[in-house]
Amino acid sequence: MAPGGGGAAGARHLYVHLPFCGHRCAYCDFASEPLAVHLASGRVELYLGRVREEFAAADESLAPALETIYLGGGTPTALPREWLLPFVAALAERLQPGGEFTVEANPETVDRHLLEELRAAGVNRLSLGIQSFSEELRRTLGRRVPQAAVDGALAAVRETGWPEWSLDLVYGIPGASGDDLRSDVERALDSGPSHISLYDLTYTDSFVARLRRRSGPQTRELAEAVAEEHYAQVVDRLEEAGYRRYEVSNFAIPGHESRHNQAYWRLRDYLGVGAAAVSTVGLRRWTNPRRVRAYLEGRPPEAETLDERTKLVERAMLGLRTREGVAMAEVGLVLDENGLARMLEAGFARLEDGYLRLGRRGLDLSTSVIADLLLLD
Amino acid sequence: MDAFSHIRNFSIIAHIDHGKSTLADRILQITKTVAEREMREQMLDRMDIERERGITIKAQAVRVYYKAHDGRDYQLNLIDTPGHVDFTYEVSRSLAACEGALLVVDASQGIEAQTLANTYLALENDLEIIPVLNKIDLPGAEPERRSEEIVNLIGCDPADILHISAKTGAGVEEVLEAIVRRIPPPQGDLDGPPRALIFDSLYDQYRGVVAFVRVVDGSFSKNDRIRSYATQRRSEVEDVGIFSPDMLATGTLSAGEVGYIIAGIKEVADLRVGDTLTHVDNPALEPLEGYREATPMVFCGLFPMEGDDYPALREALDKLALNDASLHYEPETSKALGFGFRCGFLGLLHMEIVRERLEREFNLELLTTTPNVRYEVELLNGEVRMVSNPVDFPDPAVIAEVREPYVAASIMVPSDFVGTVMELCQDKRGAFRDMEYLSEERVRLAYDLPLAEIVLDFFDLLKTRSRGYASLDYEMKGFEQGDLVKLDILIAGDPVDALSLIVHRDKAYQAGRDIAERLRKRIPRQMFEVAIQAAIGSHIIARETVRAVRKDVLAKCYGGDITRKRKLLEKQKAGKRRMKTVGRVEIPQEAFLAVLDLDDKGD
Repeated sequence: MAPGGGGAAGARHLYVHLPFCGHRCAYCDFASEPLAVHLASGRVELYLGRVREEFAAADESLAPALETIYLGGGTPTALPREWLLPFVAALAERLQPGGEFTVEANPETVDRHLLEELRAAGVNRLSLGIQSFSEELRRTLGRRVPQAAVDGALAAVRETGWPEWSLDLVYGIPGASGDDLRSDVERALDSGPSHISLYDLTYTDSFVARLRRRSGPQTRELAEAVAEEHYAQVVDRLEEAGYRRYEVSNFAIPGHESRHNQAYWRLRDYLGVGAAAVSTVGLRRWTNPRRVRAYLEGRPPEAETLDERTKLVERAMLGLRTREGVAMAEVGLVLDENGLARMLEAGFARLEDGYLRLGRRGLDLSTSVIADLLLLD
Repeated sequence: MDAFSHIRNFSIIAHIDHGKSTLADRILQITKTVAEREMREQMLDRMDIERERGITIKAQAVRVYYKAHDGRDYQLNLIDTPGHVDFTYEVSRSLAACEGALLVVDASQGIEAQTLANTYLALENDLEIIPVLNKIDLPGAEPERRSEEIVNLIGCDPADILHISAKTGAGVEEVLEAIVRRIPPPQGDLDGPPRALIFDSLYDQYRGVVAFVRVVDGSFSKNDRIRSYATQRRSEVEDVGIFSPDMLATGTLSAGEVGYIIAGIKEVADLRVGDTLTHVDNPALEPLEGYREATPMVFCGLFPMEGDDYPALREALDKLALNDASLHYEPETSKALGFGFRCGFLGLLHMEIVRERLEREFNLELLTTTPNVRYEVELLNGEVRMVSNPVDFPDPAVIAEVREPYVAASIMVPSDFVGTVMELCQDKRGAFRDMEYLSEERVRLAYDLPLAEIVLDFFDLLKTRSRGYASLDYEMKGFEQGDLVKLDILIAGDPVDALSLIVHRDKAYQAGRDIAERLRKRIPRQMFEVAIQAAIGSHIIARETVRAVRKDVLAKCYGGDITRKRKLLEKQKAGKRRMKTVGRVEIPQEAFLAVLDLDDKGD
């Protein structure tokens, strides 16, 4: 169970992890396990029960009313509906009026009926993992989703009239040409989401190995070069279309930003329940066992105690990725003076109204820029 | 002279891989100096580096007893010498401690330049040479042809050349017989004032300096009060003995014998190679001839990769110097590389060995700047400065003349490659001196060459262009005037001191272009475009550009991976710290070696 106490009022943000997927995609590095196996062994049901228990037990770390809830995975929408919907409804009870409740979904697992039911259960934001509109590029990622499923899911979202929904794209998939990269963004825009995430492809070890096997050793370099070449243009296109880049990889029509993710980036207290879920409350952070089995056995979370300085570093690291930036008064202690001077001079960062923010080029190079800006041990 | 008739002192002269160590091993075996079960390869090479590279750095000595065919017992002292041009002086002292030498030549390869140089050195010292053709059992062996070469070179009788296989042991017994019969016994005055020649010394952490000596006159015993001539160091003999091959105390060493003396001395610099030991109470009037202080020829900066390691580097150099009187070092501060040492070496191999030992035995990660030689710079006001660091090269406006060290080089090469090698020598500013056919297919070329060219890449190029067949030896010749300029490398407009080098004006453009190109490949792309320029004074002669990075993002940073992302960031920052920041450009340590890697022109 979660260590008790926290901020005076407790965390106001809840993450729930449902690690089951019908199929594991090659590029994904989230905690995910085969749904069919766990269904057959009855562990899915046990899991949902265990999450409810953890949630109930963590009560004192949580504020009575939650500002945001995020149900992620895995593929939450792959679960049998008769279990998913009551589970969701129970969570929604804790949401404050006007609160944000997001559920992650994959196209092959949603239809109009499910989306209606989810809304009825209290979910008000959907995050749809399209990744690419090209079936071939999706296959490179190891996502076997037929085009019909993508089209169907988008139609269902449209028909059920979600006021808040995000479309996730993976940027820079090997094999994509500049045209492919642009075309993915155009089709995302055509779908009319309120929010678009443009995630730079992460080369996990297993994905790199798979890529080598399938397409040879040069593929990665080539893909990275193409991605680099067209990045600025793609970002520009999103902004022109009215999607403001409010974080390195996230774009939203102003007013439609993800409140849950913004809470992370401001390093607010948050509680995570379920396998692999992480919680940060005050200076304590704990991580639940990654594997479903270990989680069900009640193995204790891995705990970590942060110090104030580390928290400041994290706050700056996260905040500098956002449009909002970080207050100098807050993070001044962890800034590298030389690096700061260099980055300001180069125009990658700027100081405005006491806030330090990365500029457009600064965000494009944020990994290096942030490493330069921060003073780390 | 009867006192000496049972003693023979000899050394083995051979090129790398021609079988010196194997022959020594076989001699130890046949004379049962080492028990069969303790036998291993390269018995006499003690350092790991020596075994791995198949080279000898420190001289070694070993005494063996041999019952010859004449029925008498002989004491044979084998002095194993380093075979590299960097250590020519050490070799000459080892040879001076002997009356004879085995010239071991690979029957398929033939005699090589260094072997020949050492053979001439032996002849100058009046040593009896016993030529030995080794590896006659190998399919490529050409004993007749190789014999002819040897006969032409040293003027011996073909019948005097022994044919052996050190590997199988065939003919080794005959080698021992030849040593006994052909090499003269030592001469000396058993009762005169004692004199011993130090032909090498090493530092033992428990016992202090161990001097390797050949006693010439008188004797040295435990508790004798002794002194050295050149360094005027006085001390008392704590232990004296022979190598068998490990140190074996004998209490006394007499004229004609070879062994060791330990006298409570802490630094090899106090007992230098070539110096003479005598008694305090019964001193010899004259030292033995031939003492010379070793002078460094090649210089480079050694900098710790981690600035924190500077004290450790100092300590390591202090320790190595205990055992290496020819290693010179003094603190150096570089704008680009921080605190380090400017070091002087006998030559490139010496430099490489020191560096390798620092890294291996002291666990240091080091950055080496491009090696250079010492220049004699005469200023307009008549002042003459010795410059061993390009950073200290004076402004051209005040220079009257620059002189650089030259060597007399001797190159042995198969006749097929004579043209290419001559071209190379020409290209490296060599002056032709002589050409001599050793046999139909082997030629000896003599050139005067600037040492700077040899230090940079001459040897590698020689090997490449002759497909490994050419061999090189050289000796210092003196300074000659040259049109030399300082080539600066600018990164993002700032000159980087550690990359400066001194080159001949005619070569400056090519060198500038090559270095700039190599740097472009080694400096990772950064947030900014980085200009790399080569310049002579204010005149830019080459330019390359490292393109700027346009995307460097991490996809996601959510609640679940904050710790991991923070650690990633810390790692990245640490990576940046390992780079040297010059202005706003981060330069990886490897880039500082760009000048050296002349092979790496492609990719």
